[in-house]
Amino acid sequence: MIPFLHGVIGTAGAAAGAFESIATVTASGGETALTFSSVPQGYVSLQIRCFSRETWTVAASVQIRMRFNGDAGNTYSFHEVKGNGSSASVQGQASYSNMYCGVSTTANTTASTYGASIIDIHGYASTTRNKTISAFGGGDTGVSSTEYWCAKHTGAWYNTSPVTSITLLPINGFAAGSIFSLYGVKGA
Amino acid sequence: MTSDAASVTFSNIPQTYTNLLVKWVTRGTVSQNAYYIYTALNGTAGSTTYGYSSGSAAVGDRSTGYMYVVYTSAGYATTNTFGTGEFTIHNYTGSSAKPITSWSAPETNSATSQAAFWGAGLWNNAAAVTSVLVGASSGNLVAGSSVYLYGIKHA
Amino acid sequence: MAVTYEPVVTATLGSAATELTVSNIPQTYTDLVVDVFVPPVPVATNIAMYINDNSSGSTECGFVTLFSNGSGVGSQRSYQHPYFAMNYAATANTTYPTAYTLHFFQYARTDVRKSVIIMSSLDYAGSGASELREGMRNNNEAITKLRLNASGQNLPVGTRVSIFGIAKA
Repeated sequence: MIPFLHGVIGTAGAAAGAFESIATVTASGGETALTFSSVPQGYVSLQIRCFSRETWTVAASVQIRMRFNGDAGNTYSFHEVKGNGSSASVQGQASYSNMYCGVSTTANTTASTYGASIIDIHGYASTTRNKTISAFGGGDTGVSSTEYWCAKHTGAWYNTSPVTSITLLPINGFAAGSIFSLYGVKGA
Repeated sequence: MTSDAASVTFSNIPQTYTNLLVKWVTRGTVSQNAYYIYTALNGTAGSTTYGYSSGSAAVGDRSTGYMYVVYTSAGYATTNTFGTGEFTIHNYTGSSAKPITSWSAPETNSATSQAAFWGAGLWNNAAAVTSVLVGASSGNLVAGSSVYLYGIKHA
Repeated sequence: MAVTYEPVVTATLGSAATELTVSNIPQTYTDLVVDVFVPPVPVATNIAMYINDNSSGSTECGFVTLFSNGSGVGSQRSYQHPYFAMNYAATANTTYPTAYTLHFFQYARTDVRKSVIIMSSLDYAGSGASELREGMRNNNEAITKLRLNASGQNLPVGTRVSIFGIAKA
């Protein structure tokens, strides 16, 4: 039998909690990449909580992209189910240069509005398994428009190396005030 | 898991939390890119409503015989690729049915594979949950699969 | 690395009521995770979360939903509401409980709009839905109060709102 209760989330006090804050990166404006470096290897899974906006002016919402360990090769796949407020659509890519993983608002939207996304990376420290991710996010801004959507993403990095750095990429540039916070979930 | 097995079970779960959270990284042996992974509470089944990409369209489906959570990577998936996911069992010590929230990522290096799953489940039983099983609905979970159970305690 | 995801407050209805309110939410975290449990309701109805003292005439909230109704996947968007809806493809049920998880991002800031992700578990053993939703309140107010509402119907005894705080590094 596998030992149970590998950790406890949500108990006050440092002794028992399994969910830990690791690092936060904040865009000053225009960055074409934001990176978490030297990711600690002592967790079961990672979570990135994204509050993000782009400098792009073509549409109202756009996907966040992600790479691991600085690998810019065609070593990723991703899949998307997107809801645009009236219908759902899908897309998928294999042997791609990054993974889609969440949604940002853009410079086409009201100021001070940011998309919200949660990215989970279970088993990131494995040395025998490729790395799979899951995310959900959206970029609604609460006003009249047909351009707002949300999306469920999954993706994979086909490399058995442990994830030691995570790079988040915009399609154009991250707007000032975009915040990405990295958390780790401990096991036993 | 150090050897292939159809399922793993957490037993004698303490009744001192409010919700249970299960995180998993698994690969099945069935001869497909991806296939169902399910949970059973106290050894009994429930139901699921879920959505996903079939690779060419968004698909909605449901089961009244299994609590799927929902799909994991399986025997034909890219080598060394495991699916990941998690599910929350809400109010597991309560005296009403138990809702479940889940997502799963059964990736393989194909643009048209099934992926991006999310789901809602229900264990229609008034008993407190004392055991949680996670298993492959066909075949086994391979050695190297991992399942983790957490308790979440409210204020 | 600091442990976070701390339980902040839980409010539970001891008698049926049209609203369950949690006030005076501490402003010391980065995000809030709100776990909502609704027992079977007396009348099938929609569940919604109001922010602060948003009146019924407010038009500040919009949200876009991705849902499965068990036979297909669809999407819906609605805006100019005083609340965030927590269900669309299925109402809260008179036989089965429902559960919702809401993530409020940067909730204590006064210089940005408030974004939320909502996951809704609405399976009813052969009917119901599974929903993912993202929304925004077009107002920079910090969130100090949450009000769970059943669209004019009563929330049953045992309805529970539990708040966790997540701090960033």
